[in-house]
Amino acid sequence: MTAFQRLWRTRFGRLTLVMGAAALALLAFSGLTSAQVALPEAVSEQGDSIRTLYFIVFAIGVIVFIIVEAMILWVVFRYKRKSDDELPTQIGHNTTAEILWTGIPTVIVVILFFVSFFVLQDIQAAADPDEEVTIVDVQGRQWAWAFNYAVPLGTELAESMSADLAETEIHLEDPSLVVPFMTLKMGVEHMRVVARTGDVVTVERAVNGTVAIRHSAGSEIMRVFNGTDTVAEGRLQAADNTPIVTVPVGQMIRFNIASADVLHAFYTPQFLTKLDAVPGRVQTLWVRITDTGDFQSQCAEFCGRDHARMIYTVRALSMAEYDAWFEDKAGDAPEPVEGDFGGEEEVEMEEGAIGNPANGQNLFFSLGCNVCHGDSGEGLVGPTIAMTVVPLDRVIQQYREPLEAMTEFTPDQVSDEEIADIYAWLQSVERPHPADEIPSKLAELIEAGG
Amino acid sequence: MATLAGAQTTPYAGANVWRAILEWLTTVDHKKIGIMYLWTAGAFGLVGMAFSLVMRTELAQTGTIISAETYNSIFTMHGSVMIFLFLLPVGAAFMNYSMPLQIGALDMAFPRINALSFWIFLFGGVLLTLSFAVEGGTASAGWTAYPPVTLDTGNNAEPPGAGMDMWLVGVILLGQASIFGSVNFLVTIFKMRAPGMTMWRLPLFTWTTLVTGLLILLSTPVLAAALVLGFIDRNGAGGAFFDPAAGGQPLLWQNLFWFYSHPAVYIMILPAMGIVSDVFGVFTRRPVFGYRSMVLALVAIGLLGFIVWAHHMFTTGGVFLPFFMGATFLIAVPTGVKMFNWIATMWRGSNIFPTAMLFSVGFLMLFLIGGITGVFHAAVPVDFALHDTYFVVGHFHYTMSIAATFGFLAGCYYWFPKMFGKFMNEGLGKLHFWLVFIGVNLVFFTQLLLGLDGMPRRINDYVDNPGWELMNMLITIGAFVSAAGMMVFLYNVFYSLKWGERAGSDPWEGTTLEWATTSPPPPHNFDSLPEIRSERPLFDLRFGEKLQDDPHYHVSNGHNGGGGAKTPSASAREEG
Repeated sequence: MTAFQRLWRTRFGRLTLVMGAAALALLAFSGLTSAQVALPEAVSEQGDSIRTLYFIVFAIGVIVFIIVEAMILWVVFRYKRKSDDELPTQIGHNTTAEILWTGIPTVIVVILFFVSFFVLQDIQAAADPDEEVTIVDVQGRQWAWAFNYAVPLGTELAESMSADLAETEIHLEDPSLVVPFMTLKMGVEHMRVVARTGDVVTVERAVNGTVAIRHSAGSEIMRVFNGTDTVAEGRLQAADNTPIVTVPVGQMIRFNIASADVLHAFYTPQFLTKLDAVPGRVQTLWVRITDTGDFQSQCAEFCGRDHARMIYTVRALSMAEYDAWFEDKAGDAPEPVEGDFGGEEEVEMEEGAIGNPANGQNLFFSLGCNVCHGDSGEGLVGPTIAMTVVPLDRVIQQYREPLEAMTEFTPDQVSDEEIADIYAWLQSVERPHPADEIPSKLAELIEAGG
Repeated sequence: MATLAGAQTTPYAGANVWRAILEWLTTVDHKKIGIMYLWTAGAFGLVGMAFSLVMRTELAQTGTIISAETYNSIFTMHGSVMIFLFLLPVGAAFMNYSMPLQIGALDMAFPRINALSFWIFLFGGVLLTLSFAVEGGTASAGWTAYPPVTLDTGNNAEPPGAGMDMWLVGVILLGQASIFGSVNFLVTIFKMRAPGMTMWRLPLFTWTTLVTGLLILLSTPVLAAALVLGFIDRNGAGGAFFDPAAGGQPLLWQNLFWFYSHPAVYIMILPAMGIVSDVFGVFTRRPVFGYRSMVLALVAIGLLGFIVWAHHMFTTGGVFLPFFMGATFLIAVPTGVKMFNWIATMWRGSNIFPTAMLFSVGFLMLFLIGGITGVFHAAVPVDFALHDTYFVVGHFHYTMSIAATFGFLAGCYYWFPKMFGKFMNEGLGKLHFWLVFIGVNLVFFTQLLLGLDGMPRRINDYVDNPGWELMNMLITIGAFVSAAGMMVFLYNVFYSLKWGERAGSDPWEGTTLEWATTSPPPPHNFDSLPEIRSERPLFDLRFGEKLQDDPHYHVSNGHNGGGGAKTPSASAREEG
């Protein structure tokens, strides 16, 4: 008789063998798939706390699991009907046992509640008021991400304001610093400059904003710039360019998360946390990153057709590298523009251009073209389209039956005339990187269609 | 009513197909309605399973086979069908069929409304499935249908078409059917119990029906309100309820939706818990341990179920986290009480393991995993990591697709002889159990691991991180193994209907009143009822005398309690 057979003969032995076999199967399984029964290694302080809490919950869970499964298997193996007229004890309750198995789980969950509560306090804590903070304004949009940063404009709000920012007028200490197409920021709100008449600047709510807004005189005004880098990774079909959000290691980072259209969620697995992007709200996620590197991330809240392709990368740089990157990306303040602009008057048109570029600029932002093509059509995830050489009819065709990953727009969403307006505006903006290649299929189109 | 009921089971019913069909179409008999619920829900369950196989085929490897639109539509319909057209109505099927029998009633309190519930349910279900035929296809925003992706806000790139409206209207209808059903269950339990069937003698399945009925009645109107608001938002002149561009609040939908849909989780699992309680009581020859604490735990789960809805919304940033975290943790306590009571019922029992019992033990073993992984989600910081990943998918499938479904399958094997007078084949039953047991664990345990590694749910393609493709392939294999098990079950049903071994009125040595009548029961259910002196009248009848020396064996002697049994079914029969 082998040891195995001897063991199988006793009930306890059988129980041990069944549970042992299950454990072995699990081990083999996790070895085969390189899966861990743990969350990924955290690259942030908050993530570390979450991972510790996970292991506490996990340990309790595993202990409870083993005890209860062993109890189930024990009663199944141990108590079997031996004869047809066998009648077991009719004990129907036992107050001590029932109090015990109500009381012990209660104590466990109360302890777990307090441990979780303190971890929650810890990971949601904001930076100290006097601490230097990196602020990244995250915009989710179907189906791309834009990461905006801001630098001081050098002026402040002259009069208090409280208004729906659909379109409102603001007064600045020094309105001369404002130029066309600029996006301003107060608090967490983004405001796109529409016009300037004398001292009055007309702004329109951009994506990062809430419904009601109140700012007092003296609020600092920032200039927003798009800091989204891209990398050609081709990790997923139709997502050839992955947007990158660049952040420093060691400093508290405040992600202001907003959405332009539907729900999204900002999810970097190695932060071990996520936060939804809810249209109409700006939500804050605090993270202090501990490791440099590129971290694969993606939208975690279902957002429509291409939800699966809404991926992005978090690039954590050392503080020095980040500072250099930031300075380069922020660039110099734009040249001041004299006199009034915007409003009823139209932006100066290139000769021979058709359409209304002012309207085109509004449409460019309200349709979300800027998310993929950059705020001035310079190209991000999508190709550079500033001063595009593709003829208008081909552009309209691209809206209607998109090649590559672009969203389709029906005539109900944007008419041919409106596309002409956008086209006109794109002809009026400077092409920042003239040498940029036009994507292959579009290039073929141009050759084919002239 | 009586004449109708009498006509339904005339011995010549089978002789004329058209007459039989007419009888089924016009029946108000709770047993026939229950069986129709069971067939319909079973058919929808197969459809839902087919959807899951499509999804698993797509996800087996990276790259795409079907379009993203199709995938989104399939996963949306998988969830919608499985919840609204499979789990909820299967529960309703058993509650319809067994509850009136268990309390010794003639029928439901409102038989015609009962029939109306079924036909509204069927119409709603057909409407939901027909949306495949309309332009733009079905709803495709998940079974949770979070706005604004469901709305044409002007910002939404691909607003869904008429299929979304059909979904909203279909679910309103299904909710209405539920509400009618719940009122019927409650009134039946409160007013139609046989003499001696006091509340503390109700079988546990009837208790779960009662609590489930209360949950449906209190929560479903809130869902109906949300659906109507959503319909107005989509079709009215700018309802502005959920559309942020018009000043609405997308999170309002989530609050309303989960105020129903969290209790709905218990609406699905409680009847399954009731079934396994009854099954344990029969196949162990022991009283279900801690009968009263079982009932109190049920009520506690029901109450707590109403204050934890926002734990589905921890990552929205719009929830007071500590309260919902605390309430969610607390649910582990009554759930644990039930778990220990079930185990204690088998302890020192005289246990046998027919298929119904196997599925009940499987329920215990795997519901435990569902419960423990639930605690991971209750801890808010851990939920931040796991929310909307495959860990959640694994967790709720352990509770819904495994535990609830195992409970219902136990119910099928357990009550099949009562419904059709024949046993299901035990050999095929055991094959079914082991295929499904292995298959679902391969699927959902692997999903837990995938979720830990950060794979989000509701994506039709994924980045090939180390191990992901292999794990996804294993999940797909597991899904097909489970599906093979369900095919065995399907074959078993038809095989047993035709060739199954004949079962007498009480083939399992049952303890509750449904076994005190013929299989299948006559239209009026009972010719006579045994004396009811405990929650196990038939057990008392069979073993009472032998157990007189057992100090733990209690029945109340002499008087019949009778509290609440104001309409004895005996007198109802005479009137009828």
